[in-house]
Amino acid sequence: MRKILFFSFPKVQNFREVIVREVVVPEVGARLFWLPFSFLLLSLVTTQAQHPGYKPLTNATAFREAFTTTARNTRSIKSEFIQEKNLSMLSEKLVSRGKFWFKKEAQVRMEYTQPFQYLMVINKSEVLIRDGQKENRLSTQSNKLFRQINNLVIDCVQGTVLDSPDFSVRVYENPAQFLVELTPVAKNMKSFFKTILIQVDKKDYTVLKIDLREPSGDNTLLTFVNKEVNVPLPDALFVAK
Amino acid sequence: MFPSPTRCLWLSSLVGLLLSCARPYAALQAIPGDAACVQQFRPTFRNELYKAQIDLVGRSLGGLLLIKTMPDRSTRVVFTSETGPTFFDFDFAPDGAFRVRYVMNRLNRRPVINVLRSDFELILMRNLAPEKATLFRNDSLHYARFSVDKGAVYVVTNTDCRELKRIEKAGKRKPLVRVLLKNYHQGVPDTIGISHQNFKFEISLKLLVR
Repeated sequence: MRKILFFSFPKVQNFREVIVREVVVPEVGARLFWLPFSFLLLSLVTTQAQHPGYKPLTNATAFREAFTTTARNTRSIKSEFIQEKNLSMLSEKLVSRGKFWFKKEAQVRMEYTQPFQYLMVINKSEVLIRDGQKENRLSTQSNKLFRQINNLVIDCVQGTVLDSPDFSVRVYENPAQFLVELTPVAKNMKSFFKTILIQVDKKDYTVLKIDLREPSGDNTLLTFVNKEVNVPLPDALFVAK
Repeated sequence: MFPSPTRCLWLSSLVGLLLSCARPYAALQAIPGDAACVQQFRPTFRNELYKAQIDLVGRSLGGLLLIKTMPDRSTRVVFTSETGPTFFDFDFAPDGAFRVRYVMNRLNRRPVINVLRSDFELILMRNLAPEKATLFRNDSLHYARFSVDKGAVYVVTNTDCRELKRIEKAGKRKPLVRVLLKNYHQGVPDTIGISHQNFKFEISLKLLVR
């Protein structure tokens, strides 16, 4: 169990302020956080701290060049996804499914369809979240975390994420896959994720799985299936205003 | 000049009405009986997943809430984002103990944990011993009153105790939190609502079919 540090004034005002400042705004950031990695569907992958079956990458230059080239050549992605949230201490797995679209520059649509309805659209700096009857619109420029995410999006699209100052990056490989391990450097990102592991297929540099590991010991595994790359996608999918 | 008796009657009625609104429990009449029947409304959560919607002072936050009874009969309440990150994992032990198994660093504040703990204890109907309850009624409802720290919890039913109307956590005079538990199936409500009366904070839960 984690040690808990308490404030000494259990006031209602404190509750409201803490929730808005520390949860509502950052939580939206957390929703967006993993999306940039989806831009790498054709190009990147994840890793673990000590990863059985993987060894450190021997030819980092070749990987970097291939990754950057693939990212630059990816104009659009259409895919389905399966999300498995593993609650480690409860031996519980929460499974959800949905559809994913990406289109350059920095346009993303992510739609959960089972077992709940949830839509998120990112169009450059504009974000739309539709949760049931509720709609939230916000700008990624509104706070520091959003700006970091936006920078990450650009880094991924341009293939420069391996040089991102927001993460320490390690790359591993086995005969079939690369494993990219991203460890957040910024404090606000550390509160959401301990490490992010991306499995990339060596054959075509497509992302197979993204594993988001949290400080709690829980993790969320995203598996992309039925991927289509560089197919025409209408702009109407990405309307966020 | 003195006011007419009719005007006095109106004024006294108006004052009485205002007082009863300000003090909704003051007009209740004590009645004999025991409160054991309200135990039937205590949810028997096994492993339920709810879609959660939180509205707080004009802002909206969604997520997933898992309520699971563990082999040791403790109840775990875990709140996560739809996209993955865990916000908190609370452990309500059968002996009344409460433990924070995990809470996101940014949420780790005593006011936040206390409010959430109190709200979920109302949903779980924990620490409500029927032998210590007292019964009240008004024209159409029965109130089972359970004394708690700094106030009381009222379990409000219809007069034959077949339908749960709401649960209220009250201060000295008026309700602070109202909880609705609706559409029970096999002991589990498929719709849950928590509404704070002294500031804009609401939690809505809808059972998901997995």
